[in-house]
Amino acid sequence: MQCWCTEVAWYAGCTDRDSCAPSVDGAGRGVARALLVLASVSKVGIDPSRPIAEIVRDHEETQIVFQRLGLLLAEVGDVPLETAVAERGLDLAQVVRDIENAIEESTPFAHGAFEWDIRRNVVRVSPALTAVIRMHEQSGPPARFLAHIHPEDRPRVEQAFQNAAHGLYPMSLEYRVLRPDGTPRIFASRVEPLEGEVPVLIGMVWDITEQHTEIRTADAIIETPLLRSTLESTADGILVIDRSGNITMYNQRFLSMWHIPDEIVAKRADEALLSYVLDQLREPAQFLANVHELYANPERESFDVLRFQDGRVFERYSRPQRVEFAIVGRVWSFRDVTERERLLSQASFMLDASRLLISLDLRSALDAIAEAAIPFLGDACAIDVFSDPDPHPTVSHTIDGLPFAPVLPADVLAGRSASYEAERTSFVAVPLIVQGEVIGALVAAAPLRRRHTRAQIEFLERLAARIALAIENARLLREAQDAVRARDESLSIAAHELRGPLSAIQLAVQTLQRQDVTEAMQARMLALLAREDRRLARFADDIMDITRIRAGVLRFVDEDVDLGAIIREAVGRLALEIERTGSKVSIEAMGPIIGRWDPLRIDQIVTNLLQNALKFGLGKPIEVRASASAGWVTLTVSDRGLGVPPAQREQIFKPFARAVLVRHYGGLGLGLFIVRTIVNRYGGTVEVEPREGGGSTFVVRLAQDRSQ
Amino acid sequence: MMEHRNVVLVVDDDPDILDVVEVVLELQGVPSICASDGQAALAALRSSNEIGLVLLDLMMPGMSGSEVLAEIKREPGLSGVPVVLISGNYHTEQNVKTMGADEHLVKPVDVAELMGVVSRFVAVPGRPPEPPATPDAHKRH
Repeated sequence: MQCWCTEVAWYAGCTDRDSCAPSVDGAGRGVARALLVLASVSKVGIDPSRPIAEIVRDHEETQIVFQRLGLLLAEVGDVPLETAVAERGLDLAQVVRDIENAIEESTPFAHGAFEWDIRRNVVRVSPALTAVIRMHEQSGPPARFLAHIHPEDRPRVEQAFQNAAHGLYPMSLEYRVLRPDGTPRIFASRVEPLEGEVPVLIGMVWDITEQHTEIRTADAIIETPLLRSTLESTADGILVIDRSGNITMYNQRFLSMWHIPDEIVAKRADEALLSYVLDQLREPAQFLANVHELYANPERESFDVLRFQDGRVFERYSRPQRVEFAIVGRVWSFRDVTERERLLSQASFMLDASRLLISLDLRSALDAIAEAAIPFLGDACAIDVFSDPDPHPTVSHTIDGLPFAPVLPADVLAGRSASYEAERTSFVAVPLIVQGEVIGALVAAAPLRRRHTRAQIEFLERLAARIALAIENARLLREAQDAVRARDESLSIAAHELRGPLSAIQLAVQTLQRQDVTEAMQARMLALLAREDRRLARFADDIMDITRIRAGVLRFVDEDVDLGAIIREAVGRLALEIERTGSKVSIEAMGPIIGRWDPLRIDQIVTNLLQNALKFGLGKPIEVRASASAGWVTLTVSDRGLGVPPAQREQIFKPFARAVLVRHYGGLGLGLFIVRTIVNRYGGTVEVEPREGGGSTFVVRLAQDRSQ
Repeated sequence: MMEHRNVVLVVDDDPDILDVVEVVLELQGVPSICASDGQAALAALRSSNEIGLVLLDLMMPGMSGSEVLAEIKREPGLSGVPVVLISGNYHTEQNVKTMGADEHLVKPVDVAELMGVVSRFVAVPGRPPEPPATPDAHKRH
């Protein structure tokens, strides 16, 4: 059995509403209304055997309303009225009487209706509506009916209807109407485009005057303990304003969110409240415009985000407050999303900072970060990297462009974050730490009224950690690049260095191949080849040593060694070179100087130092001295040659270092590096000092027995 | 080529180079003087009027080859003596000529190359004089 889900059916005892089509609103009520009219009309005779639709069509009064019900009639219109009633086992007259009563008691049923044919620009008004307004016209151009609307509301209503007509969308609105005798009534209208036939708008009208007044004056009626406790338990701040702009309801959260003092609320006036809150906002004009627009359009809902001067961020929802159909006010709800926004923008900033720090141009990255950090940290931010020789912070930014060079507190230099106040300013300083060492600092300043929170300090610390890491990475990268560059230079120098021996060998071999070479020449050439061979071998050994040193696998086999003996042996081995350079070598080694060392490595020390002296000694005398005392042995090799400039005195012990310009010297400069490596291994030291009168003295100190 | 100047002055800090070049020249019948540093080289130039060519190593401790060359060119009595620079690097033709050298050899040098250059400046017994250097004579590198 078909359940015609209408108010009528309900009044007729049908309880199966839930399974029915969802049009229990004006449609259902319209049917009831229409039937009421029918009932009155039935006095002049309705044939109940006819389908409802036919009956409706015959009676002009009901036509307007039933047009609105087009859908519903499609469901039930073909059913004869008496059948419909009979199926329910009801008495038609009784049904109609019940309906009449219900309508009397219940206000939500529309008090009138109208229809606007947009194309022909004609409005037709139902008799009920004319009765309510106490007007005479039943149809005509829209202006004729608009004339009954209160002059203050008329422009708004006109505009709303134009919009609805233009866009053909449903809308609801409220406005005041003036009866011919001047009495105002408050109407709520709901307008919908007609299904199927366009362009026609159908409107239902309710007179809500009494309702309106009741609600405004009766707080006690509206508010119950349950409602109050609900309001106080929400997460949002809630404010309810009535149609006249008076505050009808609010909760504590609203007051505390907006920091509203009691006296403003006590005024219960929207305007006072409004100007109080406007001061707190960043864009009060925008806020005000929104509010006015919503008041002008009571049915509108809105959502937006409010930003405060002190950095707070609220989300604001605003919806009309309805009782049944009528809009009786507006509900504003506010949610404090400051924390959420702060975390989001912090996370976004941290992501950007991390990206910036990956770049190789660290200074620009730090600069950009300091600038971008200001909204999070205050009015000024400075980052100082201590290795930067400039006494000012490496980078700094302030909100007003003034310089910012704060003094760092001792705590920060000792590796701890510090927050302190001075000159109406709150400072926070965080050290930049790499492997336990403080390499710089990050400082932020804010006005005292916005002093830094624990959360901000932690944020700074996280940022500082990233910056320190980036600085360290940049340094490591530079070191690696320097090392590669040094190695590449050395490789090219090594290749260059080989040309000498190769030249000599090539010429010697070509000479030996000649027919006319004498025996004496042969002997000379062969001796040369032997020498060059040894030279190349030593060269190769040096390279191998360097490789082994770098790989950490240089072998040391310690035994009891007499340093004096080793010196004499080395000098003897270098006799030819000594003779060639013309440098006379004198040895001074008092008694046996014994130590527990690898003899080959000690020999390397002596030989390398001697060769260095021969190379740079300019043919002048060289002195070698060795002595022992208190468990330590001292070896010195002095020359009277070019000397080592002060700036180079550490450099020459590094691998591939050359103390003099490449233009003057070839050579890899590995000898001294090897000396230092061996000396370090034995826990000793080697240094070069200038010699009085010109030249250098290399001083080696070794423990006689490292294990002691 | 300078008449009556048939001695080659060989300047290099590497004793083995001096040794072998002396022998190579001797086998070709070219007399030579060896100097192991700039000072000795200049002293030899000043005291002898038989030097017809200087073979000058660029890379030397103390006074570098280019300093020696500059000095030679500065002294009126010496500036006419041709100088051949020997180095381990490739200098451009322009560079070498700007420095005032007449020719440039890159180590390692073989006998043919060496003698080819030497014979342009001093007489080599049993070998006809080489024609003067043309722009692409230094074609190698």
